[in-house]
Amino acid sequence: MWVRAVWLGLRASAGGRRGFSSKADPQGSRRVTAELIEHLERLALVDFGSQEAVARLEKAIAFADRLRAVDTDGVEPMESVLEDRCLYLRSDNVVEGNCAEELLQNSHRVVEEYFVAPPGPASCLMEEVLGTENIREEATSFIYVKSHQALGSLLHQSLLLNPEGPQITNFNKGHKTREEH
Amino acid sequence: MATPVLRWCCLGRRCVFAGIGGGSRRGRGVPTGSTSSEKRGQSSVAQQPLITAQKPRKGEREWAAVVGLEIHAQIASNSKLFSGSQVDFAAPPNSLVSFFDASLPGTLPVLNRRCVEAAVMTGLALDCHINRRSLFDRKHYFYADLPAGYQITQQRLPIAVNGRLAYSICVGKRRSQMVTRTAGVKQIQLEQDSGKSLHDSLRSQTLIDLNRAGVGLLEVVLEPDMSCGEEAAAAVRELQLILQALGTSQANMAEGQLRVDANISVHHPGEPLGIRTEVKNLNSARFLAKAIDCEIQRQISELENGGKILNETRSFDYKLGCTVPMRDKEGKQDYRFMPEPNLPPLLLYDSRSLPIGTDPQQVIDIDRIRERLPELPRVTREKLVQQYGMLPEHSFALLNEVGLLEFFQNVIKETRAEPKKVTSWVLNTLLGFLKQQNLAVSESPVTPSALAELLDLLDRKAISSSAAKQVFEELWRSKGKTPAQMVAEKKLELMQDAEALEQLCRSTLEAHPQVVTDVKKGNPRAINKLIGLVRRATLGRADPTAIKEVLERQLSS
Repeated sequence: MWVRAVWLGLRASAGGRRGFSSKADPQGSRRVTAELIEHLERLALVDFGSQEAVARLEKAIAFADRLRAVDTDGVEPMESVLEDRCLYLRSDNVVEGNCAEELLQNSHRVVEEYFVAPPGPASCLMEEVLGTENIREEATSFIYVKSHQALGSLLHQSLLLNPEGPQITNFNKGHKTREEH
Repeated sequence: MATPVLRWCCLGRRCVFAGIGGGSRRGRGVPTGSTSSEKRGQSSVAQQPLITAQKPRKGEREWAAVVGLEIHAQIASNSKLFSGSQVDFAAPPNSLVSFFDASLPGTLPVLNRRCVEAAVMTGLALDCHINRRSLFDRKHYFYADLPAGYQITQQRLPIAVNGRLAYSICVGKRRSQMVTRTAGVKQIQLEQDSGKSLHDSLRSQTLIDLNRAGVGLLEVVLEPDMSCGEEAAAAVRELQLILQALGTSQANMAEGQLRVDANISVHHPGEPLGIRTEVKNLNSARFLAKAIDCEIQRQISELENGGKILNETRSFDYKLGCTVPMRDKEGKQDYRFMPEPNLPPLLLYDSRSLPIGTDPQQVIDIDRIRERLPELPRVTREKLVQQYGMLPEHSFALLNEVGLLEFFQNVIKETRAEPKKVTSWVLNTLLGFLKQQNLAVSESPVTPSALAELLDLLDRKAISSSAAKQVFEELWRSKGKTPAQMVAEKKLELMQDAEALEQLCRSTLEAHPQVVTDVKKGNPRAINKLIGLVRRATLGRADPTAIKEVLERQLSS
């Protein structure tokens, strides 16, 4: 399923739909342009940083592109591996909540019972985020999670990553800076 | 000097545009003359002196506007769409948040049955096709108040599609004629609400409250079948009444339970549709129509002056009274839609397809929901018109105010007065007093039974209608007294003594020979003067029609 998600993700972002010039030769190996990298960095808050990271991304794409070798003509795509399961319906009762104190412990900064995030709409924020490492920490500290591993799996679900992909900059303490790459 | 703005305003007021292109696949009315619209147009010109008619002929052509709406309605449910935390408007920050709402790793969405039922109900009420199978998707945003980094929504296959929303607007010279129009409902989808951000620019930080994060929303997408702010506002108002009648949303705009985004473009009739802008967060009923009309006007002036319309997101500035571009450096956002891997497809059933032997809690039967659908506002209004011979606009007015219809029906139940009289008293007198003091119907100092008793007195001709108004005012001011007590106290009852009235009439005629001569000369207004004089002599306690009768008899004898 992972491979599928990566594939879909790549097809969606690199598929040239928005006119990015990622050149693909008939064999499917792609050159990733600086423009595309910049866009991906903004979306995913991932710092590709170096030529080495870009090369790693290209390798990852090539890895995923091997899926193209599979002949899927006439095969109806699945929504998910759970698609023939019943969707459980919950009755409308209040059984959770009232745990603000516990939740707020996850946040670096708290004001009264609020989480604190940097100002402004996220689109502007992202630019700042990618500009300085300090702001990056601020930007994501409100989703600070104690277990890095758990965070990693969470990110996997929304970002286009596979084990061969570029390294994620850790979102909390102890992250790597650009220099360290 | 006919400026483009003037012409636009006239059109806008009447909401009349040729139905060309995708803008209106349903028929529309034909332009009719209107004096009031002209006045409005001129006042707008005064506000917009920048637009001149010096531009070559271009400005002579008519503009048509196309408006589509996306309406988010918060579902009235106890708990959130995918978690068991409470839905409440006013609660301490972050107190209504579960681990799932805060998107802690390892948490999974569990769909709330009530939210699905609310979506089906709303879909049925809007004549939608209910999809027996619908899907959930992730839409990615990077916002601090959306901790998961994505919203679960229904992009590919929503729960309901292809419906219609009929709404009415006032047209005609005195805006007294109601016309029904229809906007297509493209789809209704279930999705999560986001949390709330409080921006503290002083300390340059944003405070996040996740109480609203994950609350169930119905996104109702209306086709671009509307052509001005007034139509859009009427459509939103009707949808609001429908949601409230169904109980699927409280749809209170002030509390953010109903939020509207509008897609707006202008073009010359007969030409392809123009580039559209999206005006976000039209969250006030008062400004909805104004914001849309302002944006239409801005686009027209922009194009008239050789400018271009950008496909951008704008917001309405209430203070400036115009739309302004929203700071959106991203340009076109990439939402990276993907199927929600944690939710299998949502299956719905009807009485024929209902699987046997399954837990009834786990299946939703569309036909059962259809059977239990409450009466819709449109039907209630039709019944009022039929049952009481009411004008359609009066039926609209009765439904427009919370509790007013119930008040009306309670008065009707207890009084012998004509329904027309009751309608007029409720809509003119009662509503006027309520509006003046900014009170809700439930706060009215005059109860339905007091008004019913008052109208009975009026109906029996025990008091005159001007005395009735006086009694009403007294009732409004001092609670606890009955209308009958009030009448007795203030000596407001009509003169029932016919002999005394005859006497008074005769002496009035004798005292005003000049007026009598006028009447005899055929001046039709002279008799009114005599009636007024007699009424004054009776201290307003005689019925004018009775006076008129007596006077006419005496004058002709």
